[in-house]
Amino acid sequence: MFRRQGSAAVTSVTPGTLEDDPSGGVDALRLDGVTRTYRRGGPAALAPLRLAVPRGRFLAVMGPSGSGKSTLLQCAAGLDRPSAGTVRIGGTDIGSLKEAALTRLRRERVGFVFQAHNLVPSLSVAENVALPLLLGGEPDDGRVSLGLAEVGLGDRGDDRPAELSGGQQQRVAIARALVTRPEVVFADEPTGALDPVTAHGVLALLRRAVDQDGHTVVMVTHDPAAAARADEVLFLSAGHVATRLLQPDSTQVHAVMRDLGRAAA
Amino acid sequence: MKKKPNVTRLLASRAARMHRKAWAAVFAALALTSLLLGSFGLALASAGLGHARVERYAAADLVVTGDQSTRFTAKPWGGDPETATAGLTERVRVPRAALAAVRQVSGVRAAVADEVFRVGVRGAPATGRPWPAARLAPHVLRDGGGPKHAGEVVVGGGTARVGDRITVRVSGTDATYRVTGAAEGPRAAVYFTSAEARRLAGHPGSVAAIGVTADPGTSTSALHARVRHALDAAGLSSVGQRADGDGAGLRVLTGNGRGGAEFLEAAPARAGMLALLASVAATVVLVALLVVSSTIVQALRQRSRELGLLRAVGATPRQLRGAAGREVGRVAAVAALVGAVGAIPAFLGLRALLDARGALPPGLELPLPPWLLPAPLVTAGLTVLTARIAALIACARAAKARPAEALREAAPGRARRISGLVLLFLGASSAGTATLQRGETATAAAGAAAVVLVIGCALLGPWIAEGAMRVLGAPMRRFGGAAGQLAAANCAAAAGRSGAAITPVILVTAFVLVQLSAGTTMTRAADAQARDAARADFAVTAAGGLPGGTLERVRTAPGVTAATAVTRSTVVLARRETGSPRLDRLPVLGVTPGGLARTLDPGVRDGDIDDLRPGTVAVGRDQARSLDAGTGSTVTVRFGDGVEARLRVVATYDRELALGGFLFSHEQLLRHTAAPTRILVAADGSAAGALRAAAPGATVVTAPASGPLVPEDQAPGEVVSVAAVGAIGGFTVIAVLSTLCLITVGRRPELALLRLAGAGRGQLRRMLGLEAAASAVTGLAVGGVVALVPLLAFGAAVARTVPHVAATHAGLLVLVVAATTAAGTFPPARRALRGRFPAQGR
Repeated sequence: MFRRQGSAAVTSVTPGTLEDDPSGGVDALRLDGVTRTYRRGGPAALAPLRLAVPRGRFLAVMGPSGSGKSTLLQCAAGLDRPSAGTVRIGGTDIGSLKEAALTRLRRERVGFVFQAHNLVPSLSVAENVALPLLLGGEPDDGRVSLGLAEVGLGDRGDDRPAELSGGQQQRVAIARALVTRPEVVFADEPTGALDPVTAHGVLALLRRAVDQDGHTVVMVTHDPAAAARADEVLFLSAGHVATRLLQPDSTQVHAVMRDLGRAAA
Repeated sequence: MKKKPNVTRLLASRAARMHRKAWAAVFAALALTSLLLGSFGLALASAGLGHARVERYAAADLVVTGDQSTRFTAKPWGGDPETATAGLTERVRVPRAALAAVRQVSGVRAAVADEVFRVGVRGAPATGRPWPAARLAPHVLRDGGGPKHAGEVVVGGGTARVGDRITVRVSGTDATYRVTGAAEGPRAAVYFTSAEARRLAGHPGSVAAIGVTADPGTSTSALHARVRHALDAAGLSSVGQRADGDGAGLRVLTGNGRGGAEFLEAAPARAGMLALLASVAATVVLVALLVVSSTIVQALRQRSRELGLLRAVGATPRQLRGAAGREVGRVAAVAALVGAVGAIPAFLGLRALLDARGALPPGLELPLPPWLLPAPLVTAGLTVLTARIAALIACARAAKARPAEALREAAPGRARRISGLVLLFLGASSAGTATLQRGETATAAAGAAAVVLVIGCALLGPWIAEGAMRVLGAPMRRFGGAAGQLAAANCAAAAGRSGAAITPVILVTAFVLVQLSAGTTMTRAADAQARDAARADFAVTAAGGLPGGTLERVRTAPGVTAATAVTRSTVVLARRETGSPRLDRLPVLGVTPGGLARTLDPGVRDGDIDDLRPGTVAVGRDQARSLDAGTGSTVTVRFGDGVEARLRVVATYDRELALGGFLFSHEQLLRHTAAPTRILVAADGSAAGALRAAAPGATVVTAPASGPLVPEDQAPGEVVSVAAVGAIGGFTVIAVLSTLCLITVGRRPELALLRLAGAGRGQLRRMLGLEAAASAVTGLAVGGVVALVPLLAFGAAVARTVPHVAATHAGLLVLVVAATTAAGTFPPARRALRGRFPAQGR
């Protein structure tokens, strides 16, 4: 299986080194004809969908409630199996993977940030960040404290999640998502439960991960201001791609969402 | 983290500390399981080691007795031959020739013939024995000397003074003896010379037992082998014609086994107790499994979101199972140890209870040797294993499901509904078969039906809740106000949740009702039959026996309309069950048939009870049906002394719960029992004086209470069944409390939200109360129905009545359910309902 040439010197990895990678030309995430129906014969939560996310891209997915955003994210991230179509993460067709390989892929090549309940309450902050490493039996070699420092929580490693604020918990979740240097980071409404100022800080961390370290982020969001921080916004409606915006600003995003809302009503 | 840490160990240890509250119920259930398994294990082991107390033969090295057990060998369908064994409660005698054979063995210092017979001294019952046998205990002289002539006796200490002349009644004949000495040991004992004892015992060709003492320096085992050989070489076997395949060789007993020659009922009772304990233990284990696994499932389900998160960040199912298993293992190990420590006092308590209720037969010892004390550790190990298996099952779904599913709330599946329905069907048909069976088979089938039905209901819990809420919802909406509307909506919306709350209530209701009602129904039916059968106005008894001709004199006494001599014994019935051999010991009566309907009316259905004489028998109607016998056919039974007889059936009768399955002629049963006879008399009230005159030295009792003929293992059965009901009740209280607490704690945010939306605290309390009441009522109702199915079957098959539940039992059950549901609902909700400001509780 393809495996990243992980390096301890995290900060030295730039988009340039990515292109030297033998599989440099491959998209970070690629969906072909992906559909998902929850009941046999029921309506499709996701119509046949085609999507390619190149490396180093920050993609936001928007749409009204029930448009298939979360379904898209779960299928793309290997949390759920699509009813048809293929999902490739860094060129690997995850549909062909067995249970164990899929788990390993989630552990090593995908990162997650959920809206809430991101952290295991019984583990310390540092242990939460180290969780993918622990589960894979990998050594820490300083990545955990470095990751925590990068999200500004270098001194909170021994605390329990319950002792942190909501914004701090999301930062820990981001540090955990990045600790394995994954191919794609999936974020499901990461700022949904945060106030605008805190949300801004969390989005800035994601933005920096893309700009500085060449990470790829796919983020589902409701918030036009959050979507405006992305490189590209994909609008879903009733399981279909309604439209896209490149280099969006929040006024444009607002306008599209209003139109979609009207069309749905 | 310098070392590579074991992630499952880390997760397990941290989580166990974090979720201490959630594990409290698991801990309690496991500790109780370990305690019960441990104490039942100890009781089983103790009953297995149990033996009759050694008193009379404590100084004898060997005791030669008849074979106090009977065997039946049969070949089950497609299997190797099996042999069933049953103990005999009447004395099996040893041919007198054995005495000479044993005396010739080298190393035997003395072989003493023993006799044991009932005597009456000044109206009180006592045991008559030959004086030389007293030294086998030894019961040494306290005073005076041994009897030298037929007219002299030694008595137990304090009965009479040396030099007194006392009247001793044996077999109804009075004789006067001079007391030459007083002995240690039992007070109610009279020791005669050997020759006099032999004459009084009335068995000139045989002895009750032979006590053997060894020459100094001869080892018991060597002597045992030589005596055994000598008896075999002489071709001697127990007195009496045994069944084919029941070779009744003489037994040579040593050590603790010697007690068996003295307390004849101890060994048969021990076997009954073992079977009883095993069956009760099996029920308790089953309930424990249900409760332990459900509490573990709950504790883990609370954390399904956390498990889903771990899956999402890349934990393998194996890692999750490992972590959960370890976490449960930690809790279980401590809980099991606590339970194991408690098992020893629990066992001692059970033993004391059995003793206090008189449920242990005389002379049966239940020892607890020191090496048995660690035995609860074994059952503690089993408890931990059970917990780990339950944990595996509990997190199998969460660990295996795709992470997206693990993050979602699961709806109960179709497989669950189908298996639930299949189990209900199986349970109902098992109850149906029970009605076609009788006796123990019917009881077993009814018990199995109850268990299967309860498990079926547990699976169908959500659907039962849904159906119940449809029924209860309308009145709640109409009469409950806003609180009722909310409660009805909640119950309808969260059927799975209500199902989880209802299931343990069903469990306790059904199990407790079946356990208690089966016994009560049976006892009531038997009591009713006994009342109907008892027609006599007087009963005449005498210690040391009634004189010959008493019955005839009583019959002709003025005012007497009928008199019946009655004696009790047991018989053993050999039969096959699905080809396997089975021996059942049944209590029976021997009666003189003349005028029976006016003294002890068996309710004859068919035939003529007056034909009852040696060689014939009357059979109860269910017993006849199970033996496929009727008037004119032949049945084969083994009497209490092991002798087999083929008897012609002359009548069948109804009241067999009170009188037992067989009625023998008194004359016939007397040949096989040493039990005393009493005479039941129907007469007008003025006849008492005439009766005393007709039976000098006898006791005349007015309006004799004739209780049912109780099987010997019923008394321990009642005690053990009370213990089992207590255990099941304890488990269920744990299950109900933990389920409801978890549910209520999970609903705190919802309650706070309702308060924000304007609900008053009183309204919310009423809402919770109505929901709890709905769960309790549904659980009680469904549990009642579940219990009713097997109970109806049992009642129809065994007792021939509708099942009966004692009002106190029912009231107690409702009270416990109500109290437990309330305790699981209101205290955990207090935090959300506290204070005037709703946000405090969040």
